[in-house]
Order: sequence, then structure tokens, then C-alpha cells
Amino acid sequence: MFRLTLKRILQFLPGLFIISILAFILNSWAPGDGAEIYLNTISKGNFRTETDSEEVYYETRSFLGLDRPLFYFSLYTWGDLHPNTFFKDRDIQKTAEILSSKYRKPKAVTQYAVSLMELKNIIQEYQLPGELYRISRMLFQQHQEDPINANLELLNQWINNNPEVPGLQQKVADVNDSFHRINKTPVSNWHFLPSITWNGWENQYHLWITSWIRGSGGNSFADLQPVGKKILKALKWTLVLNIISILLTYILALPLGVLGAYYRDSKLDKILTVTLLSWFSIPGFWMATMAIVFLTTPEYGLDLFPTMGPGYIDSNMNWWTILKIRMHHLTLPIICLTYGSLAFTARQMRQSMVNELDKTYIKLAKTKGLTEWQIVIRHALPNAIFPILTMFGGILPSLLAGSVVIEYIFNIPGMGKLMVDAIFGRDWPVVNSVLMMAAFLTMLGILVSDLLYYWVDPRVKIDEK
Amino acid sequence: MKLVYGLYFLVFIAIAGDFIANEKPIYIKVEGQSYFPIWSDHQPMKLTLQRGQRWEDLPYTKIIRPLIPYSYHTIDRNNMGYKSPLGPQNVPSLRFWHWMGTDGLGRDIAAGIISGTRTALWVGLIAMGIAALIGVLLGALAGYYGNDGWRAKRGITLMAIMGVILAFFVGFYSRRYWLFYDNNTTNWLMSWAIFIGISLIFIGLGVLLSRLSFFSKKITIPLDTLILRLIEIVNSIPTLLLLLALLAIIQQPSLLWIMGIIGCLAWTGIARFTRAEYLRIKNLPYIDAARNLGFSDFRIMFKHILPNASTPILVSLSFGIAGAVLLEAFLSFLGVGIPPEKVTWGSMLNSARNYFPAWWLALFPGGMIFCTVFLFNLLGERIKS
Repeated sequence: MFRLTLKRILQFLPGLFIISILAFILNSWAPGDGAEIYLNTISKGNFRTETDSEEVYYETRSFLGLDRPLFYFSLYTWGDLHPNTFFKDRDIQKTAEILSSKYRKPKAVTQYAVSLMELKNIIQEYQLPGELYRISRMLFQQHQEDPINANLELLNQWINNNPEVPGLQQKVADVNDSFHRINKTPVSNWHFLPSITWNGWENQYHLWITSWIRGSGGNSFADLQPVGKKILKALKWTLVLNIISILLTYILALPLGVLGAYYRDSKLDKILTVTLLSWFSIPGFWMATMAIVFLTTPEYGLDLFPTMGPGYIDSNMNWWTILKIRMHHLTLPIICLTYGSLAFTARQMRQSMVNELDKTYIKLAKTKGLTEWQIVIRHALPNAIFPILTMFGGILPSLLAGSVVIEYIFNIPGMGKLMVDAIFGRDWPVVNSVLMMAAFLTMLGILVSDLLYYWVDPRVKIDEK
Repeated sequence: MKLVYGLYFLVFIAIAGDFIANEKPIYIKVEGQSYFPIWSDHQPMKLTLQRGQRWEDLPYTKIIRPLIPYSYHTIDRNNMGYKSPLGPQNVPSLRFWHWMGTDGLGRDIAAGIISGTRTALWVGLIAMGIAALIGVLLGALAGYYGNDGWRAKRGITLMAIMGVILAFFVGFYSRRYWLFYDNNTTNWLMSWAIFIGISLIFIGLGVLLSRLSFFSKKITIPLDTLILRLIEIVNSIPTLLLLLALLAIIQQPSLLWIMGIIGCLAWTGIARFTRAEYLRIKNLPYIDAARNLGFSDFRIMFKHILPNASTPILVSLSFGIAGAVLLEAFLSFLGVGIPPEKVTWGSMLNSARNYFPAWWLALFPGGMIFCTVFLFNLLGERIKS
């Protein structure tokens, strides 16, 4: 049993790894600059990326780990270096990227960008007049040949008029040279070969995944709380909804399935089959919308349930009142969450029961003279229940998906609501962590149902030996 | 199989939707001249409307309109603000009645439903088409070859693995530095062409390499285990959450993304059923006979086994389409990943949440989703039994 558990867990690791990489790729594709969003959240939208706040920006960037390499290794082309240097100026960084893919000579372009960076440093150091700053700013943003040449010309003119600044002349000459060298450098022919560079352990993925395992998973963009904390808070609601829903599903589905199988091919069975299939096809969000439209508003005279949310709880209420409020608020969501999986499980139960009832030991029991119900309850049911009990690992993903729908519509602060809100709020750390969490829970569900199966079914153990 | 007629009906609505609900008349006669404005999307337009002019303002002598004289985007200014199908509507005649009411902007719900049919069916059919392609191929490979059936020469295996990695690198990454520089835009077709080309070249090289004695030794590749493991991994990805995350990040939402992602995640069921069927059928005597006749594996797999294995594939395909329609509806309900100008069942259902008295907004689009999903589920159930 122990060895088996270990084996199954080890089998899940590659899957988890792949999903974590997927989530991380999504993270790095996501639009927006993490450091900027962070600063904007801290300063309540007052952060502006002007020269005076640039120091703060880069400090934040390195504080958040965004200046580290993305992954354990980087993939470049063989022939020339990719401009993998990170320039401390977003304009220059962007220009370097565009130019290097335009001219296909990343090394030469990197040199040009480095010379621009040095020019900028010297301008800042000597507090040179705004005129020069404006020209160089324009140069940082240009990636067309003609405007660059025009700006270089302006720069040269300015230098000729004001030759007194030490070192500036040299830097301007460097910029000129390195730009003209881009055109002179021959294009490398070895780009088709890959070259891999090891980045060491201090990379963004490593940082993210270790913090996720430790339970934090970075900070939410919305309120800078650790994502783990937010997820834990939300998970409570999702678990409450899903556990009640799973329990209800099993309690109701077993008798329905047994009834269908026992009166097989009768009118009752046919009605049951079609009804369950139609329940199974009713979209949860339609059901929920209809419930909200018809049952929570006085519009149609059926204001039976409170509208939204899990209900307001006062700290000095006794547990009975709290339970009553919660029940009142959660009734509709739980119904909407349950009926689909109920229909699915009941159909599976019927099928499994039908299979059992066809077996020879049932015939033996009949010839022994047991009553029909004795046979069904005592002999067939325990065997038919195995596949259904272990099926809940399979239901778990669809329940999670279902709770996204239900929580969003009924405004319950669970994982699904957290996810949808994070998507609309462009809060990527939360989005990715919820994705990871959901994948982890799904795997856990499959693992548990597998182990349950091994545990309840002695035949599997014999096979293992 | 009366159910199939329901399917035909849906497909008919999806294809002919423009001719059932359209603001443009099918036929109009102005000053003795006949026009067919409904075709104007497909033909150079002969009769153009002035800005703000409507078709009924023209001095026509004869006009034939489609069944529903509104397009899904037509804004009926006289019936803005949620007009009930039962209540009073400000229409010139019963012909212009909004049979399923209007939304807040005065758009006709019936026309929206017809346009939504097309989106839903497209997504369902194409997504599951992709899924079926992947699922049947992988399932067939896993089932037919099992763990010890696929034996390949060392040379070919080595070169194929190297070739695919290199092809991926060149096709999708270093191409922009090396070949066909195309101004930083991603040209997927070119990438795929390079990928396939380089892979094929390397496999060809592998065939040549296999003439050497060391490389001509055969090794067994445990296809079945590999594919089952892949199925396990894909199964543990939470589809809805991944779709939501991906679609939120994509800058330009398009239906193609939704179809592609659903197709790439929904194939596991089909692959499992296909594998099980192939495992069963490959031991039947007629397959032995086919092998003894010297037919190639490919021919046996797809010409002799596939037709007999099609029932479970069709069943899971049918359930899969139902699932994909549901998923698309939910995504457009949330408004994630669907172009905002598209009117779909989900987006109409969502607008019901803005104005509770508008029961028709909740009832009709949702009912349509339910009918479609139910139809495909029933169809799957029928094929099964």
C-alpha cells in the first residue's frame, strides 16, 4: 500500500511540473509590468515613471525578482548573442529588442544599446540641459534608420556648440560608431543552431515555484497580500460548497440509480433516464441565472431567497442563527451545483447496478430463495458501489469548474470567484496560483480515488503481487 | 433516428442564418429595378443606403423580407430598453414584432439566437474535430502497437528526436534571426512549414543512417505507456480555468483560440475509447488475415480497424460537442475570450443579469443552449445503445 502510494505520487510529479511551467509561461506572457503595477498599488495609482522615480522602479524590480533570468537555462541562437542584458531603461531595452530582431545582429545592437546607456548616465551625472536630454530620449525610442541618423546629427551639432563637458564627446562618438557598426557587421550564418546557457538556481521560475510550495506564491497585484493567504480564505468556501454537494449527490444518486436498475426498461426507468439526461444537459449558469431572475426578486412574486453573497454574519450571533443565515444563502448555489453531478452519478450508478444484476451470483442468490430486495441491497449494492465511490476523483474537476460558475453568479467568495475577479482585474499572480491549485486538487482527487479503489477492491491487490 | 433531424435543423440555422434573420430585404423593387440586397455581402452592392436611411424609406414598389427582419446587430430605436415579447412593442406591423423581445439596446433576441447558433456549432464542431483528430491518432497508436509493437531502428529514432527538437527551435524561435525575417509578426503557417520540412529532412537522414550496422538495430518504444501518461497529464489540467487564464492573456480574442484550446484538451476521452477498441479488435482473426496478406500497419489501422471502432468514438465525440458548446456559452457568458461585437447565447444570457424583469433574456438563449446540449447528449446516448 505504501509503495503503491509512493509510486502514484511520483507519477503525478511530471504532470504537476508541466502545469507549473504552463502557469509560469502564462505569467510571463501576461501584459503589464509587474513592478509598475506593484508601485501603482502601493501609491494608490500615483506612481509615474518619470526620471525621479526610476530608482524606485528598479529597486522594486529587483525586490520582486523581476530582473532575474526567467528559467534555469536560456535558449539562444548559436551565431550571435541575444541581447540578454537587461537595460535599466525601458525605452532602451525595447529599442534593443526591436533592433536586434530587425538587423539580426544582436551583439552589435547590444553594443549600441550599451553606448546609449552610458550616454544617458553621463547626462544624468552632470545634470546636462534639457535640450540634450530631449534629443537623447528621442534616440532611445527610435528604431528606424532615418530618425536615428537625424538625431545623431542633432547630437553632434550640440556637442560641437558645447564642447566643455568632460567625456561627453567620447560617449557621443561611441554612440555614432556603434550605430554605424551595426550595418557593417556581417549577418551570422549560424543562427539555426541552438545554444543553451545555464542560469543557475536564482531564477524567476525557481523563486515562484518555491514560494508556491511554501504557500505564498507571490503577492496579489490588487492588494499586495500573499496569494496563498487569499487562496486559503477562498478555498474554505469552495470546499464547503463542494463537500455538501458531493454528499448530497451520493445520498440522492444511489437510490435513484438502484431504482432505475431494479425496474430496468420499465416506464419508470425510461422516465428516470431521460430526466437525468436532461438535468445533466441543463447548463449550470442558465439554471443559476434563472434561479436569480425568478426566485430572488419580487418581480414575479417568488422572492424566496436572498439575492447574493454568503450572507452577513455578526460576531455576537449564536451558531444557530449563523447556520440559518448560511443555509438560506447557500441553498440555491448548492442546488445549482448538485443537480448536474447528481444526474451524472445516478446514471453511472444505474449502469453499474445493471452490470452487477446480470452476474451469476445474483442468479444463485435467487435460486437460494432470497427476496428481490435482499438481493439488491445486500448482494448487488456493495459491489456496484465500488466504481461509483471511486468516481468522485473524476467528478472533482467538473465540480471545481461548476463552482467557478456558481460562485461567480451567486457572488460567493470562493476560488472560482477569486479566479474570475483576478482575470477581470488582471491580477496574474492570483490567476496562475489558482490554476496551479486547481490542477493540484484535481490530481489529488484522482490519487485519492485510485487509492480508494485499491483499498476497497481486494482483486487489485492480488494483481499487484 | 428522429434526433438527427434536430441536428440537421441546427446546422441549417447555422448555415442559412443570414437569410433567416437579416435587416436587409431578400428582394426589393425600386423604380422598376430589382435588387437582392441580402446578397450584397457577397456581391458588389448596387443599391446603397444613405446614412441614417432605412430600407422602408426607399420608394419601393415591392419588398420581400427575411423571416426575421432584423440582424443580430440591428438597433431598433423604437424598441429600446427591454421590450417583452408579450408586452406592448412599438412596431409598424406584426411582421416586425420582436418574437423573443429585445435587449436594452433594442436588438432583436431571435436574430441574436440565430447568430449565436452559428458560433456555438462552429466552436463545437471544429473544436471536437481537432480533438477527434488527435484522439483517434494517439488512441490508435497506443491500442494497436501497445508497449512492444512499435520497433524502430536506432538511427531513425535518434534522428527523428533530434530533428523535431531542431525543427521546433528553428521554426518557432530562431527563424526571425535567420530565415524569412518578417517584421516581428508571427507567421504561424511559415513556422509550421519550416517545422515539418526540417523534421522530414531529418527522418530522411535517419533512414540513410540506418544503413550502418550499429544504427540498424531495432529498439522498442513503449508507445502505450507514453500515451497513457500523456492522457493522465492532460486530464489533470483544469480545462475551464486554463481557458479562462489563457484567454484573458491573449490580446486579440478570437473564436479560433477557443476552438484550438478546447481541441487540444478534450481529446483524452476519445483517445481512451479508441485505444480500448483497438486493443479489442487487433486480436480478431480478420486482422491476422490482413497482416498475413502483407497490408501495411497504417492501412490496417485506419482502413480495417477504424470503421469497426467508430461507435465509441462517435459517442464520445457527441458528448464532447455538448461539452464544447457549454464551454463556449459559459465563456461568452463571462465575456472572456469572445470578440465583444459577437452576439452569442452566453452573452445574451449574461445581459439578463443586468435587468431582472427581462425573463425572455434568461429563458430563450439559455433554452437554446440547453436544447443543443441535450440534443448532442441524447444523440450520444442513442449511438451508445
